[in-house]
Amino acid sequence: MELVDVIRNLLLQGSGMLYKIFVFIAILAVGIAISVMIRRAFLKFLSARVSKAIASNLSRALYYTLLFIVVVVALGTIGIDLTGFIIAGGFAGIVVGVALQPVLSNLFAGLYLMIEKTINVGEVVEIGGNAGEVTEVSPIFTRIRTFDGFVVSVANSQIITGITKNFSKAVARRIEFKLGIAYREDAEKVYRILKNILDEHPYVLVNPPPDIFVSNLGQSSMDVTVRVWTPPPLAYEATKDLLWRMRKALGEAGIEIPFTQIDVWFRSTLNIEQLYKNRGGG
Amino acid sequence: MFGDEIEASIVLDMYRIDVTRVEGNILYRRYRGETIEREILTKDVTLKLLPIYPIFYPRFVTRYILCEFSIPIYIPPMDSIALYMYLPIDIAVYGYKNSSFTILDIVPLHKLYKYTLYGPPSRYGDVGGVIARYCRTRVSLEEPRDLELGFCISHLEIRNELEKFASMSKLLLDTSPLALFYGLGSWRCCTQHIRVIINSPSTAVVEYEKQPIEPGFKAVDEPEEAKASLISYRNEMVWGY
Repeated sequence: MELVDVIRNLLLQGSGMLYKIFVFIAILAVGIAISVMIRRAFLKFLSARVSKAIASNLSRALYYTLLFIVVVVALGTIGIDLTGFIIAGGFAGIVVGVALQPVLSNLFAGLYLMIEKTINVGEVVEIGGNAGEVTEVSPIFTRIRTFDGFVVSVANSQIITGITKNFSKAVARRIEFKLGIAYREDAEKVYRILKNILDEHPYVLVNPPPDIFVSNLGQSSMDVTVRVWTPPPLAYEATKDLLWRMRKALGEAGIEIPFTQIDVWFRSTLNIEQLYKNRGGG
Repeated sequence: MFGDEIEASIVLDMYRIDVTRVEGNILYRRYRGETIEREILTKDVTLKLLPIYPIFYPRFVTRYILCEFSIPIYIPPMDSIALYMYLPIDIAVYGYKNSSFTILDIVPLHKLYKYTLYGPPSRYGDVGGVIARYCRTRVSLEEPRDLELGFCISHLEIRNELEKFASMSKLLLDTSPLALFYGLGSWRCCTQHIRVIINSPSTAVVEYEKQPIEPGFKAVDEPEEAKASLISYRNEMVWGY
């Protein structure tokens, strides 16, 4: 074979290869574009029917599946056989599965959370001592914006295995106050003052009725417990406002709220003058 | 008066409303004594006073109103009673621009605003049911001629489908099917005819008609909070009446 024939063959093979590369890129481009369109349409369709978190994650899963299919088809056009990859993938799957066990457990926990709707975006929850508003339920993590402004990421598996308080699912919230009153004060007068405040407060529910009772006879004070129910969105404001109003009303009525104090009784009469002299006084 | 445009200054119960207009811009102020309770800046809107459900002050938390009757009502077996009820209302200052509107201010007319839980009785301190605005309401067998500001008239028909006496002390109203109507140029307002059907010892159905009980009265434009999607003009009372 002459040199000219060799070059011609190479050019012919090269043009065939260029054609395959062109087809590969075209399939990839069109495939990605179609995948994006299907993802958007699917997200729109699901958003109207299920929660935002489920819609977002399912459409994302569909998108990556479509991308995988597009890449496999595109690689097939340039003659790359993926059978070997699939066999190798079986072994790799076991290895990766073991390595990613924590991630996968979070993933399935996330799917469970989304289906069960244990917590949803916008709800106020407390998980592992972190209380705040749920901002995102992703497949792996749930993000909470705490009341002091931090964003806390909690692994989904931790949520389904631990204790979660969901304040938003409560129909009504109970708030409790404990007030210490001096023993010499009239407990019934205190009751009347507190009841009046609760009756006039708009955020205290009429039913279940508020509860006021002496809960403990302490060392320095008689403890009065006040329990009220409020609508959940108003619980924080009610807590702040009620304690302030009760303190103010008791103060205005001259009711003493004592601090911790100890009365010391001497068995014999204490001679103050003698003590003073013993210390070297005049 | 309901439906009239607020031009400059008006006195409403214990409040004074001042509207200042400067080249189309509007400064709205509501005073209680000398204290400004609400101040708004807006532009080119028509301001109107209209009756509104008492669910927006001090905060919108629920669309339900639980009316506790001032006297209990006993309905004989398989019989019905018709009566009038004074439903408490507030006054809303609506801002209109072409076909759109919004509520700019709620003028509270009552001394005490309370919420309550309408739910199953519990022995263990747990709660269920719905939060509702609590109103203690007067009832009358005759249609009230003079209506106090802050109340609208509602006509109730309570039917007892049981074969024993039924005692009714409260009524749960859903502001979504409930409608308010006002007499243009007056302070009178009313709801539609409401039918309560007692169908078991603990449950009742509240049905709402569409027409006002006073002919010629105009419907108030429903704010978004009270405009839920309606399947039927009714609500159920499943935790007693």
